[in-house]
Amino acid sequence: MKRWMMIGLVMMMAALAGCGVPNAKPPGEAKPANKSSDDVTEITVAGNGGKIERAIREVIAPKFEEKYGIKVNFVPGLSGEILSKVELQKNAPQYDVAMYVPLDVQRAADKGLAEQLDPSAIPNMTKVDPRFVAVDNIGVPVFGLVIAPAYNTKTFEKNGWAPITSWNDLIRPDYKGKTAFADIANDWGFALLYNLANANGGSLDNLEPGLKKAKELASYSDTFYKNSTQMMPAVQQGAADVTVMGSYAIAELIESGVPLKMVIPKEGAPLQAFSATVVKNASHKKAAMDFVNFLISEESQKQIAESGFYPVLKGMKVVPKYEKSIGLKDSDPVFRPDFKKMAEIREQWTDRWAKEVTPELGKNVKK
Amino acid sequence: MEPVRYDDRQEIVSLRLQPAVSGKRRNLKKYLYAVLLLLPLLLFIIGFFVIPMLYILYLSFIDTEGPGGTNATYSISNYGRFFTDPYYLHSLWLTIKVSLYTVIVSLLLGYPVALTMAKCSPRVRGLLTLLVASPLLISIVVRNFGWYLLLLPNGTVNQLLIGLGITESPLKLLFSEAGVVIGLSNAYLPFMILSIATSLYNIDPSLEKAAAILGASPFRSFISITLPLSLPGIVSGMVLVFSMSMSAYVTPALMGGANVPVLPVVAYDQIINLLRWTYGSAVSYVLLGITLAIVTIFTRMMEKGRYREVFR
Repeated sequence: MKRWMMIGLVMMMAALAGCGVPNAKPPGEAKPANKSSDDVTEITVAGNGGKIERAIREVIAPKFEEKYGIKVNFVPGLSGEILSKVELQKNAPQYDVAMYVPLDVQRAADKGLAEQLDPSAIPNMTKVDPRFVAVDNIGVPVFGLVIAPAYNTKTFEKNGWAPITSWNDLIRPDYKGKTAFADIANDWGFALLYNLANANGGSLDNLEPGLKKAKELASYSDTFYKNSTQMMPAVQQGAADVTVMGSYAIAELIESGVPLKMVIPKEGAPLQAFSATVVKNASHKKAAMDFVNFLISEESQKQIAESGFYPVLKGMKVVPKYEKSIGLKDSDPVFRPDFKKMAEIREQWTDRWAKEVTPELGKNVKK
Repeated sequence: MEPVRYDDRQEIVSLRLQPAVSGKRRNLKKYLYAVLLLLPLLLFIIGFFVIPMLYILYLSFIDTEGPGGTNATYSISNYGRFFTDPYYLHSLWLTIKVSLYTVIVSLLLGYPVALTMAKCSPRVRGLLTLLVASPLLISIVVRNFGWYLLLLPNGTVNQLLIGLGITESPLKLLFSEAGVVIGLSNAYLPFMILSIATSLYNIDPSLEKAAAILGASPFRSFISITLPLSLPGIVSGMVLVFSMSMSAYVTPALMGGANVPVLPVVAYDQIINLLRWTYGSAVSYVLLGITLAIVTIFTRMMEKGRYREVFR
């Protein structure tokens, strides 16, 4: 009997340990009960960890507090995690502002998890470059980026490999598995799939050619990274010479001294932005909208550009220190992907990727 | 004669009864204390574990996507899908395989350490216990990143192996089952060692002396005495490590990449990336059920097997 109780306890502990991971955040984020916007003292903002968290926590939130007298609680998380929490808290929203990748802005819009926004409440919206907008009047772009290939120029020169100019150049036996590509669940991974399709006569309506190419790509790769933050040390440590990442990550790697070069392939690269939404029925709607408006003020965008993102306002450029690494020329074929279509097909192609592409990993890697 | 006997018995019975009654009352009091002492934990477990688990169970029977759907229909279709799709069955098999390897590796590495701990002086034992437990003081994410840097194709381990001429080209240590087993064994080894050591401490040293006097070699006495008597520790260590490996998420995701899609990773992907709460919940419950079943069958077998005496 004792043994059984012991085993039961052990199982419970193990299950608890297992369950703990995805839901690490306690549900009771401190929140004042008042609903009127006049006496709001704090709002809760959920967004990506890392660079975005740092920019908001260290620079933007203090300035916002100074100006509006409202404190910003920042809850870091992956875009998908934030979306699933917002969905779960639908009836009692804990967040006021949720920041997503464009695809999740679309999914939040489809599921009715975001408020309609308009320039009367957020005047700065009129100054935004429309190429960054994921869903009109739902998501306001804040942190601009392209998802693009990058390669280690030193290794390429040493081996005499031709520079990468096309998405198809990512598929080469020469790399001997020294690649860092994200898994399909990640934005960077999905971008890889549809851009391979674009480069081979397909499109978001027909990803088949992309999937075929991706199988080849997988056979020349050791893995797809489940955790995209792991890709940066891989490139930094020289374990990968070729990668596909967001431009802000590439900029950071170059800044840290890695001889990396970002490429806008001739078939084009997707331009997009981490976007802010006001959570449906948020407790502090007015303050949330003020915060979103503040995020896209010229003052904030200057700060955001300092941390390696493209500013999203019309006419604003990347800051000089990033001009060389990730600056875009007018002739660069960047495009705004069809996020609505992407949200529709995501599930189906994620399944197919896991079942058809992943098993090919490493099959043709010759060390 | 007889009435006297009868009286005697009466007396004996009443003597026995007296403490029994007050004992019962004391027991009741004891239970009350126990309940009061356990109450905070019980409330915590019910609030933060039982209720969420029941909610997940409820979700797993919903047909439509997403929680809180207005026109939800209920069926076992999520479970049906799991058991008819070879991809998920393969993932289940992979999870079991990786967990079994982890159990074997940590048993082989852990037993000698536990044996040393049982044989050495109390001072050294204290030091060893601290050393064994020390990895638990470091976050699993940090440890996994450490392993990740060591095991990279151009990392320290591979450079060492190539330098020593053991292999010509780097071994695929990362993004493989081997990598996950290395990470998991490292994480759970302390649990195996400590549970075996505890059962070794309880072995009466005179048994080994007796065996030696009767002419048994040290090896013989290990096989016939020490090993069987440490079985309860081995079994609980194995159960502990196995169930934790089955439910591990962080290590397989970091050390296995996309190459080792174990069930916790699959469940996470379904819920977080695809927002399929219902199917992800079903996957979680399949995992829980299979783990419970394997652990139950295993402990039952051990308790009914050749060495059932030592489990009493």
